[in-house]
Parts: sequence; structure tokens; C-alpha cells
Amino acid sequence: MNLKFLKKSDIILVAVLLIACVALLLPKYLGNKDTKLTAVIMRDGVVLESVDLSTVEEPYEYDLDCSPKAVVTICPDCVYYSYAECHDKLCMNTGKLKNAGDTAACLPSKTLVVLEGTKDKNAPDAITY
Amino acid sequence: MTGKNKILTAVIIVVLAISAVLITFALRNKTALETPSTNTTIGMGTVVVESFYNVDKQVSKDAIKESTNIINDLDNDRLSWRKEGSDVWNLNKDHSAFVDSVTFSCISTCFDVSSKCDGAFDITVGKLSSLWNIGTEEARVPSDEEIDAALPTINYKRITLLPDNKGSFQVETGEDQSIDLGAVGKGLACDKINEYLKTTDIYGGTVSVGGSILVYGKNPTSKDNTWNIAVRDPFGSESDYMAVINCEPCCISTSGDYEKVLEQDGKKYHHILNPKTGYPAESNITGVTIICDSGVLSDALSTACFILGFGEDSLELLKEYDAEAIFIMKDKTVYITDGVKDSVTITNEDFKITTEVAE
Repeated sequence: MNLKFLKKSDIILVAVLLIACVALLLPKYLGNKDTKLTAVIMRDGVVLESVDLSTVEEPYEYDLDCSPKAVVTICPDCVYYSYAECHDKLCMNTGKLKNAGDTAACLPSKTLVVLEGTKDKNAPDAITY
Repeated sequence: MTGKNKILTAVIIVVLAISAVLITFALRNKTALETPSTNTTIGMGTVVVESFYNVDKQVSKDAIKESTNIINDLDNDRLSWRKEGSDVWNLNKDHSAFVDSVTFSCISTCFDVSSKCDGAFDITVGKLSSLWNIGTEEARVPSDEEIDAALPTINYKRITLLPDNKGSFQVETGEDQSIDLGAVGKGLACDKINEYLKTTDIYGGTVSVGGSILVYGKNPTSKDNTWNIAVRDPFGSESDYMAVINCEPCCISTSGDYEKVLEQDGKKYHHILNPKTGYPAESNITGVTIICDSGVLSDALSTACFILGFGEDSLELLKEYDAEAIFIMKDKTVYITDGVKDSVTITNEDFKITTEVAE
């Protein structure tokens, strides 16, 4: 096919457009494979700490500096309340948070740990309890 | 190549390029719509999770902020019996108070439910619930004498609702009575957020106020735009579930004996008190989930049905309000009412469906 009627600049323009399209869509498909989990630790509605679990090599403790006292342990694959001085220890009983969307709260100390990340497609939208 | 062909080829290339750009933006918009904005926080003394879908993330963020405000304002100004100056605080102090229309209609709905279940659900349990204080650091098992003293104060029939045509709402209770709207506060929050969301551009979303769920609008991530709400496994840990309800917009509440438990002398006491006995309600069920179109109703009905247990009485009550339910028996059998039978999937095979109605 003779494309002489199209100037070189036109072809470049179309090529740039197509490359831009691919570049714009790329994150969507790459993003889906991304299972990055971030542990977000909050006290009184304020984020104290936000930890990308993939950067954690050894489990370590994080003191929430609250009353009653509570401590969270952050691991490479999970996060959990490892110590609490409250009455019912509900936060510790919640166990280890491993999946995106998992939450543990210590209501007496107004602290909260949420594991953020892209939820599994088959995960329910909410849970009633 | 003729001039005509040249033009044709040029047109085709331009059309292709434009299509590519349009498809790209459409796909990006779809991705943006299908990614929810989610916020987890503490409100009304419980965990609140708001999750909204909208192409414009700012719209979702604004909705999260406003929903959180709605929950906190309801708690502080209307419902909390611990917060000085709230409607309920005023009512419990003076036994007669002018309250907000929201508080008024909530109390009026509760009154209606009480009258239809012969007081199995009763908001005048305030004296009793403050004795137990389950769910707080001061939780304890009261003495029999204390419970006997509190029981005569419980009677919803002594609430008087006095609306007038000038838009003021007065409520009166007995001098010895105390109101506790703790059983329906979360559902009321769902109702108020539902009203608010209708004034926004939010495409769809869910709000969980301590397990009472508002299902709003359309779900962009499912083919038929419906939602999947899990029912917690009463025998498992907090994130375990035993069934999934496939639903359209509605309100869903659950009452169970595994939530907010007080342990004393090796005995476990849960937080749903039977207004007739003064002790945590005991029946053939371990949990019940209600599905209906109002949060206050789903909350009130789940409490009522939990106290009544599974049987003709609860089923009759549910019919009065066109509400559906999932009853989880202590022996892991599950009864699902007809209206939701086809939309509930049992996901844990330890649970078996029963169609028999107990005595």
C-alpha cells in the first residue's frame, strides 16, 4: 500500500497515540497481579503507621502508645494485636490479619489495624455479624 | 492509488486511532468505577467500614467523610445515653424531652416492634443494660437483687409519644425508666446514610456499622449489579463466614451470642439481654440475620428474633414487616425464610438447611 500521502509526522502521531493507549492501560493489567498488602495502624482516627508488608523482613512489635496499652506485631505476611491490657482482649482474639480488608480493633483504646490491598474478586462485599 | 482510495485509507487510520483512544479511556473509566474507595474507622463504639464506588474518587471520599459525620453526630447528639445533652441522655434525666424527629421516629418504630412481639424487644431496658454494661470495661454480672430491682422498670407501654403539628416531638417515659437505643443505633445510622447517599452521585456501596450493613445502589463489579454479603460463622473466628446473601439494595443486621461476651467465673455472658428475665437471652439459636429495607427495623427485628428464638413467633413477627431471615440453630442447622431462600448460599458445609419449624 502506498502511504506517501501520509506525512511521516502523521504516522509518528498515530504511533505515539497507540503507545500512549497501551501505557495508560498497562497499570490495570499489571495492577491486578499486584497483591501488595499494607498494614495501616490507627489511633483515634489518625494513622500512626502505614507499613508495606513486603518491606518487613523480621517480625517486630509496634507499641500503639494508648490507654489501655496495646501492642501490634507486624510480620512479613500478617499483622496482629500481640498484647492488650483491656478487659476482653477481643483485639487479640481476632487473630492474625492476612487478607486484604481484614480488620482488628481495640475499642477501649480506640485503636484499629486494617490490612489494605486489592480484595480477592470472589471476596464478599461486606460481612454481617 | 487513486485520490479516493487515499482519502478512504486516511479516514480508516484516523477512525482507528480515535477508537483506540476512546476504548482506552472507557477501560480506564471502568477500572476507576470498579475500584472502591474504602475507609475503616471507629464510630458508635464499634468498627465502621464504608466502601463506595464512583468514577470520581473525590465523590467517594466526600461520601466517606459525610457518612462518618452522620454516624458520629447521631451518637453524640441523639442516641448515646452516656453523652450529656443527647436526646436519650435528656430523656433519661428528665423522663420527658423534646427530641429530634430522627430520634422520635426511631423510638416510634421500636415501640411498634415491641407491641408486635409482646415486649421481647424493649428499649426501656436502660436500667438493666447499665447494670451489665457488657461491651465496656465496666462489664460485670449483677446480683439477683439488682436485676430484680431493674425488671419492673422495663415496659415499653409506658413510653408516650407526643408529636404536634408544629414540628416538635416530645417523648415521655416513666419516672423510674431508662431508654437504651443501643440495639438500633447502628441500623439508624445505616438509614440516615442511605438517605444522604441518595443526594449524591455515588454509584453503589456498602456501609457496615458494627456488622449492621447498608447495601446501596449498584455493584459495578458484578454482572447483574447485585451484592454479596457474608454472614459470620458463629462458631468460627471474626473473619469466617458460613453463608453469602446475594442481594439488591437493602439493610442487613445480625444478632448473635458470640459478640461482646463477658466472661466471669468460667461462665460466658453475651450482650443481648432478655427484658423478661434480666439475663442474656437463651434460645435454640446462636445467631439470626435479618434482611429488610430499613436499618432500624432489621436491627430491632434481629434483636427480637434472637430473644424469641426460632419458631412460629419470630416467623409471624417477620411477616408483619415483610422481612426475611436466616436463623442459625445451636446444632448448626439453618432455616432460611422463603423470600431469600434462592439468594442465600451456604458456604460452610458443616451447616445444614432445615425446613422444619420448631415448636
